[in-house]
Amino acid sequence: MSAPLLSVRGLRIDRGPRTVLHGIDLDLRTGSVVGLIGPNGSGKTTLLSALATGATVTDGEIRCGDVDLTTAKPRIRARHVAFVPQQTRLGFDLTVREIVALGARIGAAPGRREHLVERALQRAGCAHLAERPATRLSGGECQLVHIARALAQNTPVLVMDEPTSALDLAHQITVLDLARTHADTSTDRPGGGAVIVSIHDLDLAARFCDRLVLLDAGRIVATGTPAEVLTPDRLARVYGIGVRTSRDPATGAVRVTALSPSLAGAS
Amino acid sequence: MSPTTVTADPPRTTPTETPAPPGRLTPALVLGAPALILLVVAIAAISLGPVTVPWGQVLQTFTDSDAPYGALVRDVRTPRVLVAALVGAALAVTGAVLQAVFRNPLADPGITGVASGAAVGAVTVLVTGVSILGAATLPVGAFAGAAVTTLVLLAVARLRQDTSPVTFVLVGITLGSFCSALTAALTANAPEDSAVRSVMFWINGDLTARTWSDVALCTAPILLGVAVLLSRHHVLDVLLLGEQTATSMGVDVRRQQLVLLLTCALVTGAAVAVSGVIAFVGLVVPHAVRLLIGPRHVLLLPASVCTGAAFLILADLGARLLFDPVVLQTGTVAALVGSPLFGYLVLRRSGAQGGLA
Repeated sequence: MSAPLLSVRGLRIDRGPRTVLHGIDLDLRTGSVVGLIGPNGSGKTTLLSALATGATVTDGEIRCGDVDLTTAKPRIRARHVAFVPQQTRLGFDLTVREIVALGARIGAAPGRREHLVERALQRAGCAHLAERPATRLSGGECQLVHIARALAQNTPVLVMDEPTSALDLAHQITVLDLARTHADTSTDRPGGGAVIVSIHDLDLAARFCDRLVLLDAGRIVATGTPAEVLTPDRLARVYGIGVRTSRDPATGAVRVTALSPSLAGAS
Repeated sequence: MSPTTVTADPPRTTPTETPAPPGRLTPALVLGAPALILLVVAIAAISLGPVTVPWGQVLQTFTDSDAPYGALVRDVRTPRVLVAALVGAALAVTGAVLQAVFRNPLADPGITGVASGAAVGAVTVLVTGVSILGAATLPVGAFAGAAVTTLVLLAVARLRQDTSPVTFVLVGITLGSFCSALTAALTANAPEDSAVRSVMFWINGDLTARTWSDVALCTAPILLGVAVLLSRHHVLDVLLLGEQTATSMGVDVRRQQLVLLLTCALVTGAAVAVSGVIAFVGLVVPHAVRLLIGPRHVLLLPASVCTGAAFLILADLGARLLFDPVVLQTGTVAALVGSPLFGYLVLRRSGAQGGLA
C-alpha cells in the first residue's frame, strides 16, 4: 500500500487545563474520502482546524509528505491542505471570482491562475455566480464558493468542516459529490487527492465516505468502512440513544435510524 | 412492514441568469481619476483664498523665486495644503485597513485609542504653555502621546500573548476613555482661559497656520506607514474571508494583524500630531471609495489615499472660505459634510441589502 497523503501521529491538543484531543492517529490515503463523525463536543472541529491551520497543537505531528504541518510556515501548509470552514459568512463585497482567485494565488504561478479559477468555478458549479458579490449569495451558494476557493488552492488534501449542515437536499449531494471528485481526480496529481469531512448526518456519511472515523470525548473509538463503524451497539454507546441500522434500498449504503426512548424498548 | 420507496426525477431547470454586478471601473480609471482630482484640488486650494492667485502663477512660484505672491504660495498655502493632503491620505488609508482587519465597516483610526493619546500630549503642551521646541512643541507633544499609547497597545499584546482584534478594540477603547478623562482634567485645571480655547480648537482638528516644519514632522512616518500598508493589500483581501480561513490560506494572521495595527497607530499618530483630531475622514472615505470600485485592496488603498487627501484639502478650503466671518475648523467642516454623507451611505446600503457588511 502506498504511503498516506496525510498522516497524524499522537496528536494531542490542550485548551487550558482540559485535553480536547488525546493522542489521535489517523491516515488519509490517496483517493479516499474519510468521514469524521461523533457527537457534539467530541473534538471534530478541533481536529479539522488543527489539520487546516496547525492551530494550537500541544503534542504530536501532522505530516504531509516530508513536511510537518504543525511547524511549517502557513504559506507552505496552504500548499498542502485547503480548508472549507464551518462558518461560511463571506466578508464585504468581493465577487465570487475575486474570492476564488485568492485561492488560486496559492495554487499556481501567475500564468496558470486564470485556468485554475475557471476550473474551480466549473467543478463547484458556481460559474454562473462568478461576477456576483459575496454578500448577495444564499447559504448554499456561499458554501459552494468556499469549496471553489479551496479547490483553486490546488492542494492534495481537502478538509471540510460540516459542509452539509446548513444545506438543502440537493446542495448536500452536490457538495459531497465534489468531495468524491476531489478524491478521485484531484488537481494535477496522478491518482487524485484525499478529503476529510466532518458530517453529523450518518446516512450521508455512510453513503459518500470510504472510511469513517468515530470520535468520542477527544478519542478515536472506531475506524473502518461505514458498515464496520456504524454498528447499533457502538452508536448507542457513543451517542447515548437507541439506534437501528438497515440498508438503504436505493443506494445500498448503511442507514441509521435513531430511536426515541419510547421506541427503543419496542425494537 | 416494508419501506415505501418513491422516486422522482428532478424537473429540468435552466440556470438562472445573474445580472452583472454594479459596474466596477477599470483599474486605470480607478487610480487615474482620484490622482487627477487630487492634483486639481491641490492647485485650486493653493490658488484660492482671500487673495486669489491665478493658476498659472501658482506653478510659476515654484520655478521663479521672485514671482508675485511667492511668499504667500510657498510659505502659507502650500504647507497647509500639503499637511491637509498628508493627513487626509493617512486617515483614509488607515480607516480602510482597520475596516478590513476588524472586518467591521465601522472601524476608524480613533478605534485604537491612539488619537486620544495624542490629544493628551497636545493638551498638556497647550495647558502648561511649555515651548522648549518652539512651534514644534505641540506636534511633538501630540506625537509623544500617540507613541506612548501605541507602546501600551503593543505591551498589552505581548504580555497577554494575544493580538486578536477584539482585544485590540477593548484595550483601544479603554485607553481612549482613560485619555479623554486625562484631557478633561487637564483642561478643567488650565491656569489661563485662552488655553481652554486653544484646546477646543485642537481637539476639533484645525489646519490654520501650518508650516513647513509641520510638513517635515509628519511626512516621513505617514509615507513610510502608507507604503507598508499598501504592500499588504493581498493579506487584507484574504483577511476579509475570516481569520481561520485566512490562516488556512497561508497568512500568519496574528503577526500580520500586529504589523497592520501598529502601522496604523504610527500613521494616525503622525497625522493627529499635526492636525488635531479629525473625525469621519477615516470612516467615510473608504466607504465611499469601496462603493465605487469594490473592496479589493490593491485598488481600494491607493484610491483611498488620493480621495482622502482631496477630501481634506476641500474641507480645509471650505473652512477657510465659507461662512466668513464665522470661524469653522477643518475638522468641523469634515464632520459637517462627512456625517450626513455617512448617514446617506449607510441608509442606502442597508436599504439595498439589509446589512452593512
